[in-house]
Amino acid sequence: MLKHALLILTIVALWSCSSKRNQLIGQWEVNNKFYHAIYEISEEGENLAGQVLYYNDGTTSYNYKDGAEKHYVFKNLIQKEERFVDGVSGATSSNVEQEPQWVLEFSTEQSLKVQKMIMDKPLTEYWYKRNK
Amino acid sequence: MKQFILFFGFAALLLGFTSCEKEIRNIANTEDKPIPTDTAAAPIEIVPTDINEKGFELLENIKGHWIGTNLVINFDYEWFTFDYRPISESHIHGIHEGGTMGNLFTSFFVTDFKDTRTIIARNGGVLNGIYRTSYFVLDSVRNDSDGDFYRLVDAVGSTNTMWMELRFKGDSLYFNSYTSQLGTLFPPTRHMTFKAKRYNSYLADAAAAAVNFPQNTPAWDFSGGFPEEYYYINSGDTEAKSCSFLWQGTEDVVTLAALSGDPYTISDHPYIASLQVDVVRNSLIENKKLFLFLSLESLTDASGYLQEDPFNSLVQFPELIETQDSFTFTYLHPGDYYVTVVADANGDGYVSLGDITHVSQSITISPETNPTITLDNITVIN
Repeated sequence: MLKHALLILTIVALWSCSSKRNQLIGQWEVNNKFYHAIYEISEEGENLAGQVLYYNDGTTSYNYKDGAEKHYVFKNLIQKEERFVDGVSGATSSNVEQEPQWVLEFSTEQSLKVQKMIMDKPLTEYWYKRNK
Repeated sequence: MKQFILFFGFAALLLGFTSCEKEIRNIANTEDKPIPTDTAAAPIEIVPTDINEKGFELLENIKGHWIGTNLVINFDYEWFTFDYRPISESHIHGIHEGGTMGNLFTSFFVTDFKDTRTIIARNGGVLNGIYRTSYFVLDSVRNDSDGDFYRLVDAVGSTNTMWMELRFKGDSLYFNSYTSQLGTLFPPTRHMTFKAKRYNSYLADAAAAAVNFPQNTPAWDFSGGFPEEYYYINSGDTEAKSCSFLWQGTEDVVTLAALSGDPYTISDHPYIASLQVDVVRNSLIENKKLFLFLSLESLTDASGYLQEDPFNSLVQFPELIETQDSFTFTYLHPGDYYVTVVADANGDGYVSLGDITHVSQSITISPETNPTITLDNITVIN
């Protein structure tokens, strides 16, 4: 009985992880008072990458065109429990683990709470899933 | 009272262009100018824009009292201002005085550089005893349906190190900077995002009339380049990555400037003034943080109570720590001002109910003067 329960729990956990990872795949949009961007999160081998499709901060604007050089905001996003992180440089010489540069977590099924570190200070913004 | 609540966390801004947001890549569409990529930092040749052909109107475009929002590193200033006024026939200046922490300025002036008549920006300030000035060269101009766009790049490292971009459309200004901690991080990324509307231009227009601005004549001479021997060199590097002049010490700004090797210092700026404000603390405001305001209208009524409407007339809003009783506005545009101090009596970090004020005092600042004003009787509880 216990074996069955553990098996079910494991399957549920794996399914949950896989489900969240799959939900992350696709296009996400951030449009706040400081900038507007569209990112495409896709699988790059074992990891997830965030490619810039569109960016406009008022002076710099960019539209990705097929065949052009791609720009990424992150390339090695990995899942850690309920969060997806990138830019973890591991332990420092003082053996203090550094904050990841990017942390993505679902706030709803269609929105992400995104934290990026700037000068070791966190900036939080929200990305919204685009419906193709 | 809500409108009184301004956001002053200034330390981030004062780090100025010396640091950066790490993950947003620069992806500027800047004609054929080189931009950093994710993988390379090859030296970039700086080609100044000849303002005899285009770009001179930048000096005219930046004129005015701009009010808007500002994202600096991760701090969202819901209200922010820069007051740009001419200080000579070919030089326009704006500064943010942060108070105890320091200040940050950016001025734009006509010069000759690399055998080209162009515009250079001088950006810097003093933060916690660290004097920094950096120079940026105009290297990209676009005038099209999106407005007037200008890019000014670090005069040594170009876009490998840091740059600023400005776009004007109608009464709107978009002013962004991209930095790399003076070249220690690559590529540079967005550091400041100031979006603003021109609140007024009559002060800048008056200053322009007074100094016969704008003229296409060099304000300062960079035809021979910069004094390279004074460039700041990052620890571990053998050559400079930025056209920046730094010095750290406890001396006054004039002394720090001289020690830094900055080719032009505050003493070389015409027309500007300074104003020393001395605050007499009483038992009500002892050991309270002080918000010091320089405004175009009185912030209080005749009894000393704060009013909401005049707050958009602020031009400077430094913040003084609990033990500081005196502050000097530097690089100050001459003109008529009101000076008001608000003691943060309730300690919430904002101007709010319960804070203590006085009747705003008016003062006229003449060019190239250094007056002092004393604020006393700060006893009105809002």
